[in-house]
Amino acid sequence: MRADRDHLRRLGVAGGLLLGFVLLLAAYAKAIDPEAFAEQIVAEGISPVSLSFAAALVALALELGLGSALLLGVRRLWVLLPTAMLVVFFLFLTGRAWWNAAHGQDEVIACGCFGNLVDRTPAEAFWQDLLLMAPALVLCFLGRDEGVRPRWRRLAVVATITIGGVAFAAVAPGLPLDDLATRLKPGVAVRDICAGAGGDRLCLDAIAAELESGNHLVVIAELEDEALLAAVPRLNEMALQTGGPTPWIVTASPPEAVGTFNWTQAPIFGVREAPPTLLRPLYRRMPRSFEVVDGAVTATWPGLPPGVAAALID
Amino acid sequence: MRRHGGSTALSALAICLLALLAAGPLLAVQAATADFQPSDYVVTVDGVPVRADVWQSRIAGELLILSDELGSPVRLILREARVETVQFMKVDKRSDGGLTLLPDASDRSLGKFKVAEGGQGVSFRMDGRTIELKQKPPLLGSQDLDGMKAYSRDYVRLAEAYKPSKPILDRLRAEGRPVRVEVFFGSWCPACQQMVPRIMKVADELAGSNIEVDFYGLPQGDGFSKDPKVKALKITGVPTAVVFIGDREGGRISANGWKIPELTLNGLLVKR
Repeated sequence: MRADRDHLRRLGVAGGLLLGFVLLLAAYAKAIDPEAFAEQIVAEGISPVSLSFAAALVALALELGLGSALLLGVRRLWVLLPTAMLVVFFLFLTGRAWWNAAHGQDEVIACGCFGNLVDRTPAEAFWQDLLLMAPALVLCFLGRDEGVRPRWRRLAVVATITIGGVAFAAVAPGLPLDDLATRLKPGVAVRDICAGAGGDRLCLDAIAAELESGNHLVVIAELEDEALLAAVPRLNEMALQTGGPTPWIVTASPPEAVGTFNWTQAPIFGVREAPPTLLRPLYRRMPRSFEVVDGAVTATWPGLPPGVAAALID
Repeated sequence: MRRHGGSTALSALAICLLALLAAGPLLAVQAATADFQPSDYVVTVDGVPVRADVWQSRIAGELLILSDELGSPVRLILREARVETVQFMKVDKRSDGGLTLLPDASDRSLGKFKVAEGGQGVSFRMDGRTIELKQKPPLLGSQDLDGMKAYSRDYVRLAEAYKPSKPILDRLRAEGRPVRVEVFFGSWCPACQQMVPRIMKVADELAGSNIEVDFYGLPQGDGFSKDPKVKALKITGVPTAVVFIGDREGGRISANGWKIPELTLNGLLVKR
């Protein structure tokens, strides 16, 4: 009897470690770009825009608290029940996204509990989340602690991780974490910056095949952005210079905005439209810029590229 | 005396050189801005389409309208949202098909233009009339290659620039089965403007083979999803090419498949 209980307890420890690790990893992926997480919350219909950032921080606190508690071996019902609800909620969201995608409905902005950092199809997100979390959750329940009060030190660590994680998320948008938080970083090939699966898979080099060779400076921006509009003359100058990088704008702005931009700015450089599913994982805030040499990203900058931004200050 | 004369000549030469050096960039800009190429816009006067040639200088960010209906040539300086008439004598049509606007061509200011809602065109007032300059209406329904070429100079230019893989074209030319590629596109869709010319070039190269390429233009907005062909073939986005081998669908070209459409097409044919 006791051997059985020890066996179950060991399974519970394993389940708690796995599930805790998954929740903390998911929380980290979202905490470094909480604004994208907030957008996802709005897109999922969970919260209005005005409350989305606060909702993102609350959700992160929940994930951090439950994840760290499980990792530290706190498997009481008051931890496991909310964890189960969270897991069921995640699976509901990924399942709904999968169903919508399979039925040609709403375009999915991002998939699953790992935010924008991981490129997964809705089906992959559902099955991976299910397989990662459901068995671990069952093990946690099987090997749950009963009647043993968790030590206060563990609870203090849980509280520290939760508060620290939420505080980090609150300031993260202002920290230089773009390369860490997005799929756009030096060394990545533009042909590997993709979204979607199967016949719908679209990569950046399909949007701008020219990036595969030569030196290019790409700005991801909204076309109504004041900073971008101020930079257009400088980008035009760069487009006329021989030997320098060729400037581009890649945007998810609607065709109407592209039309207005072309009429009023008359850019000499190329403006390419890309779907939000491809662009959103590439930035935390727009504009964001990057240099491409022979198809590979060599540098990234928050905002406009240094040469353009400096010209504006001058 | 002779010495003095030599010094004057040298000074004059130096001044000329300095002037040339100083004017160099200006001359370069002037030369660059003066170059106009034909473009595909349509012009209406008080809502009625009129015959007009519209020329564009991308570098200068200017458009030039030549139409008997307007009298004087009209220049739109896009970056300043400004419109003016220019002197007809300063417009020089070149033998290479381009047009040069000579310096000091400005004549009469017509004020500012307004961008139409939806960004599809601009309008301005001239002699009490409303002049609109807009993109061509979308190309709708079934089109053959010639129809596509006639619609847009950009299609022709980009198709000419695309170099399909010769070995793959050879393989496609050897295809024994009847193959029909139906390309669904929107002439309003920027991605289509990049991708469709590629398959136009492939279609040109495959002329006379068993592979036939047709084009089908779709409207923007609600009309897209209401189109009977879109419903029947479940087209969700453009550009999409549906490849029929005989009467059966053999696959589609979409998204990344457009990077090298002949390669995607060959892949679909090899699979079936």
